[in-house]
Amino acid sequence: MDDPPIEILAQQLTGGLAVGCVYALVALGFTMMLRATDLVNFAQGEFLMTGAYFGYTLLSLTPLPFLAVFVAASLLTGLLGMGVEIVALRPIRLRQSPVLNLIIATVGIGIVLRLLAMLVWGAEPLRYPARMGEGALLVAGLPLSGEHVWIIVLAASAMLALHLFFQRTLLGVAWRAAAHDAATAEILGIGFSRVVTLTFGISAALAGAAGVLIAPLFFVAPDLWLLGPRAFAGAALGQFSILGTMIGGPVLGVLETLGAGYVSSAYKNGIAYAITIVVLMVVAVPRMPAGSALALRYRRVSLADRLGWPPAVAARRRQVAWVVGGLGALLLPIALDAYAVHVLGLILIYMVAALGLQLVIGFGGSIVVGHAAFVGAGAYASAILSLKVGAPFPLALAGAAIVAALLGLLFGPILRLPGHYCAIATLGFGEIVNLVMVNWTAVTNGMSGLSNIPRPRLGPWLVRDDHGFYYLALAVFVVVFAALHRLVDSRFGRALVAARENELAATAMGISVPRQRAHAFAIGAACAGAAGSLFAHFATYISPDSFTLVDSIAFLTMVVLGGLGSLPGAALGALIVTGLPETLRALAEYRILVYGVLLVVFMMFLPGGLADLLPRLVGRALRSPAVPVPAAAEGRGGDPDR
Amino acid sequence: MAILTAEGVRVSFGGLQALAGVDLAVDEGTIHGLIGPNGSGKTTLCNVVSGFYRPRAGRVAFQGRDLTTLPPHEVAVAGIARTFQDLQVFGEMTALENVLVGGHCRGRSGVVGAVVKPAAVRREDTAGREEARAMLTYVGLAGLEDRRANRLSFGQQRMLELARALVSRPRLLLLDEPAAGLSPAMVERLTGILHALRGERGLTILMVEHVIRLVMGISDRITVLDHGERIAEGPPEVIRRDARVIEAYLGSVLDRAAD
Repeated sequence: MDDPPIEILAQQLTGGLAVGCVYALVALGFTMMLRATDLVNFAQGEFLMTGAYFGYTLLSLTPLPFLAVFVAASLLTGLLGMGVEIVALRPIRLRQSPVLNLIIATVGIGIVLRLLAMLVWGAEPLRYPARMGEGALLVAGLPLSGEHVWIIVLAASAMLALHLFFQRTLLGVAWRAAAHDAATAEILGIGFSRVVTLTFGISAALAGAAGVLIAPLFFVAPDLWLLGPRAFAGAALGQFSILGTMIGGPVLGVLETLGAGYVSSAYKNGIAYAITIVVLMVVAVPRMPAGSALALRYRRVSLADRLGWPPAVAARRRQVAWVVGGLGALLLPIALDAYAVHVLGLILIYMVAALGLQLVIGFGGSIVVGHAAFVGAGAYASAILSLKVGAPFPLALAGAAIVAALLGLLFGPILRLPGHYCAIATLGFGEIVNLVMVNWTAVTNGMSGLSNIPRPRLGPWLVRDDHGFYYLALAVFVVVFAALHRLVDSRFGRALVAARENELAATAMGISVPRQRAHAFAIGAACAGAAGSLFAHFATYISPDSFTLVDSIAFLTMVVLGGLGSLPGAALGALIVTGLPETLRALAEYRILVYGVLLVVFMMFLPGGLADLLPRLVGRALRSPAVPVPAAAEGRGGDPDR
Repeated sequence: MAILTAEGVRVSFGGLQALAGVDLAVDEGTIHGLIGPNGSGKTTLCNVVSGFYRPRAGRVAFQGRDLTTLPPHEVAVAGIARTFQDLQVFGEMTALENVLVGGHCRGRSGVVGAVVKPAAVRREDTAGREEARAMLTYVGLAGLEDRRANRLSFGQQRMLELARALVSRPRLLLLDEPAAGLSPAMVERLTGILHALRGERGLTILMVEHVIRLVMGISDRITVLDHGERIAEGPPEVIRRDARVIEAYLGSVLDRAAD
């Protein structure tokens, strides 16, 4: 490539800076929410999208100038955010649910917002009716895009306004006090709930503002939400401090643009994540405080305890339940039509992957958002082993698990990162792996994917139909479940849970916490890899589209919805997340909407996940509501994240 | 014979000098008290010995082996177990599980063993559980095996930490204020246990403690720190009369203890 003249460089810099300033606005929302409540708002990208659509409508229907629309759309998005917080999130928070439940609720909110937008404005990308500062602007003799300059100016003004709000207004000071120490602030009369609602509103307003600024550069489409996770990377880069975020966003934008221009445009969307992961590993890991794993605050009471069964009786009845369940699973396909069996086979595959993620999240206490990457790695490994090497299915399956496990081991050090840093780093890891699938065409055949993957053959048995596949997947599921069941109640499993509960003490017991987490990560990845292999041979066709961020978030949802730290829960979660949209098929496009709403409702009423459903119902029937005591009231030991 | 030696250990946090070149020698089979006013660097020294802090200068040797650059989990494997001043139990795990984790560094079984469960792993598991139960009984927590650790009382959690440390069969036990917050009866019990550990098991104990009666009554030797420096070392009788120690902080407290 020729050296570009200074004009082009200047334009790229302002372009990057403009996008970076938009990131910064969205990222400030992330940072504020995190500082106030420990919550990563996964709907932040959707608020950006909503703001962009609000701006679109206001510009189309009213004669208001762009500036007025910018302010109005931001405020509207902020109000929407406050409403959402009060209706959907506050009830969950008041139940002392684990913070991951809140995160999944925001996932549900995001799904609802995306779908509502699609229903109101349509799925087609819309061209913005008006723009700001069209034409070039001459700055210091360099012709710059006036649009970019305007974005920078407006974003900077919004940030300045926020800064003044924090420093100069009573509310701002109250916010800082509450974010610093909620309990003390509460004593001083600063209602924490109101602070959280306000924070959520401001976060949403910032995202909305960002949406109005960025939309004219692209089209308005539901896809705009994807800017949210990248802005989250900017917040992490700024170490989740207000000032750091204001710097981190623009830095990321500029590096991303320059990287796309000079290094690789194919990997443009991965650059932000790669930079963030590297910087976090270098900066955050050495300064990492001990005890950073996520604590599971909600304590489930088992069914046996609710019913007051002695351990021996409970164990025997559990065995009976397993036998009955097993028989049911064996006989189930006989009663169902081919399509239902097909869906069940798919559900079993997701169950296998979800079990692996449960080990990492529920037992290991790391927030991992990139699980689909391992499913994809397994799927591609298995497909390539079958197609190009001609490996028989059992070998391809084992190879898929091993490839995924090695990938997990290689990137295991990411799990040294505490809580939310780990979330964004693994999210980024997933996105980068997905980009590799798209761009490494020689091996993966790019977006066209790999087709004609052979049906599984086990010795003389060729798995040809959905029934056969169901039994194959069931067998793999049983093996994985049994293995993990033994693993969590072993020296290895106890060490993993100990590291989650108290990193400092675990280290003093001779446990290498990073190694323990990396190994768990690799085991979880192996499960995902096996699931990926099954998926590849089940669908006979794979493409990068099956292993995206959306899928990773779905896996996270399965684990949290099912109940953290429960293997049966993970399976139930996979059943609901995969099966519910299928059962709602009659509702057509509304099914995703219903699914999103149900997700939030589940988080509201089942803080212990689906694994807790039956015990809770039984407990209620027996009128002995064994109310779990929040960890905060039990002295030390359950102290999360700090 | 010194089992643990520290030479010229220097630690600072930012501009604050926490340890200014401290020497320490702990003889094998003794109880060594480590005392000093608040902020004198006792816990910092504990953290250096157990590998959580890397000193800016100086070295720590255990059984002749240099520990200075060893990561903390390997220090535990080398035979130094510790308890914490502020309770650090595995809150959501049961008392029994807590103690089982304490035996981690002696265990051998790995991932494959856990899944396949050959006879050797089963044996290790059974033996570990028996030993953990015995240890809980030893520290007076019999009957509480299945109680979650964060549902135990403060004193019980202290004893749980002790059991968790002991089950690793350490050569050196590092106790950071083991009696803080204990009732007089439990201090009594702790004293008995520590005596027995030294007498019957020949365990070496390095103990940071504020309860002067306990330290004076049980220690073979005492090191006194003040402002990150060692100002005295010797048997309790000598420490009791040391002018610098009295001046530093002990005077009135010691008199009361002697009455």
